[in-house]
Amino acid sequence: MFAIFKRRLLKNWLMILGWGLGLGLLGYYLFDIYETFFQRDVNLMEVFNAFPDDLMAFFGGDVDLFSPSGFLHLEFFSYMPIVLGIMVVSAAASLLSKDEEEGTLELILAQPIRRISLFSSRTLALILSVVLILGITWIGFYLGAQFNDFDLSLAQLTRPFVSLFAVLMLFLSLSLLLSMILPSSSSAGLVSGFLLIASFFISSLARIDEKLEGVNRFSPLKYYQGGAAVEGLDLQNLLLLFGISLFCLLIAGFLFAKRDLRFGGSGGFRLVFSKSE
Amino acid sequence: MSNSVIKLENVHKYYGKVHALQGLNLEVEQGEVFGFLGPNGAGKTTTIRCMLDLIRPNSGKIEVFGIDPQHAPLAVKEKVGYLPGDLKLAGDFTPRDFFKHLRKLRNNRRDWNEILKLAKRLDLNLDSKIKTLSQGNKQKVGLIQCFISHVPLLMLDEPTLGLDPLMKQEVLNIIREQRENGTTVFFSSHILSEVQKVADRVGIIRKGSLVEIANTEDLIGRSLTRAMVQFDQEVSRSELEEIPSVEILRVNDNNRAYTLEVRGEMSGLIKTLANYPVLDLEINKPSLEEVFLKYYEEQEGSA
Repeated sequence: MFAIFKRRLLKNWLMILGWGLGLGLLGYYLFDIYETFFQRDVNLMEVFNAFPDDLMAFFGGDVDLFSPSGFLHLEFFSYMPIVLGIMVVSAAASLLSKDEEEGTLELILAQPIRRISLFSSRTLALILSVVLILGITWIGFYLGAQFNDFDLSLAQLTRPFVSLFAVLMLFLSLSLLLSMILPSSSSAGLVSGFLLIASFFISSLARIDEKLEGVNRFSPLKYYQGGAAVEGLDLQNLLLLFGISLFCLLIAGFLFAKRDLRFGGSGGFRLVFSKSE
Repeated sequence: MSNSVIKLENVHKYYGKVHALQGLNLEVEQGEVFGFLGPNGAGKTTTIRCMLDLIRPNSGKIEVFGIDPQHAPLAVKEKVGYLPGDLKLAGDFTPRDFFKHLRKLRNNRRDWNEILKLAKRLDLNLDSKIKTLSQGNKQKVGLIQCFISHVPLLMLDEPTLGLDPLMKQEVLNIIREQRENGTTVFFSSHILSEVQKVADRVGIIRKGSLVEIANTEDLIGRSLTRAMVQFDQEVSRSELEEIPSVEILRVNDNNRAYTLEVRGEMSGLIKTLANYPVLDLEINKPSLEEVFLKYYEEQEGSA
């Protein structure tokens, strides 16, 4: 349903431009900062080296903070899953459920369109919005690297974005799935946001405390490479993230197609499993 | 062969522990205007939503044009124009954009000139943002998108909600025109005077099941009529008591003025009155509203 896809994408244009340009500018200036702080100021490197290993591990993992990839990770890709993740989680949680709760979906679904078409059109528009945000950001990074004579190939610059996209996809699909199961879009956003932040802390702390490694296996951010992907993508992790995302999307689409529509703020677990009553 | 456009058999719908539809049976014939009456919470909107597969019944059988909405929702929606009772529209659209969007969803099968004509008729500004429109104007947007569907069945849930009296009249006129064009109209309302004006048949729903279904006129005619008679002379009470289906409610003026209640046909009363000098006769037919309230009182009493 191209009309629904197009409308949703147009509705997101402010979000795409706002986030894309903001992060693109940040990326552009990051390369300036790298030149200033790390390559010319040796004392600052000594200061960083003096930080406890645990602290550096929490923020960066095992990457070399003074390499381009380590720097990009520390200054951008380490926290982007949280920053963009919160935006993505909130957009996915309200993608269909909010309109359902507000009642605007009733008239749309009374038109001759399949529920699954509505679901897939809106989901694809959101995914494309995320791709466009990352794309604009990537352009900022690319220009920054070019103007500062950074020795990064196009592929090297692109790989961390692919890794970021994969983890964002996972939280997007998880949030969408939760919005189909939980009673309201706000509760889905809340739970997904909590899982995102919990995952961030578990993965960060697991680098310091080995006892958390067991729990960390279930944390999506364990499979996120961030800046380290400059050196090469871990395809297994990538496929795992995309695979789980696809699974969540399929379940979410199935539930949306099969369950009762929510009306006027109504909602509850029973709507998902209404046939069992 | 059945000429039913809508057929519901023993439909049950639960919302958690609330039994919203309790074995609802209903049949609507092709080309008729069917008024679906009931107070808030009786199950009118739930019934319509089940027919459009927006929600699913827990059991029972629903057919719209012989199609099960759960198995072929698209085929049903292709043939139905719908106005939700609690109409909510995306506020960032203008009515013009909204109609264009809906046209695309219906593969551009809506006549744009007709949209302009109806907007003019209902006095709707097409270029204001929907979020700035009054409730009545939003309702007009909902009505226009429904009327220009060119479908054989319209489902209107409280179609005159929020409209001023002139617009209400105009909408009822449009419903009549739709019927003249052969469209079947199923509309729910609790404003009974409107139903009475346009509906060929009415169904009364109470607590999720149909308590009455009849031709509108029959339903009104079948019920009690009140007659006030002023005689020129005294008339014995027993004379009037002997008339079948007549009950004396009040006697005044030394047996010269009677207030009577007649159930069904008036012929018995008229024949008797012909034997006496009548100075004045006032007959009040009940409105559908009174009939409706009567049904509810009786049902509540027997519950």
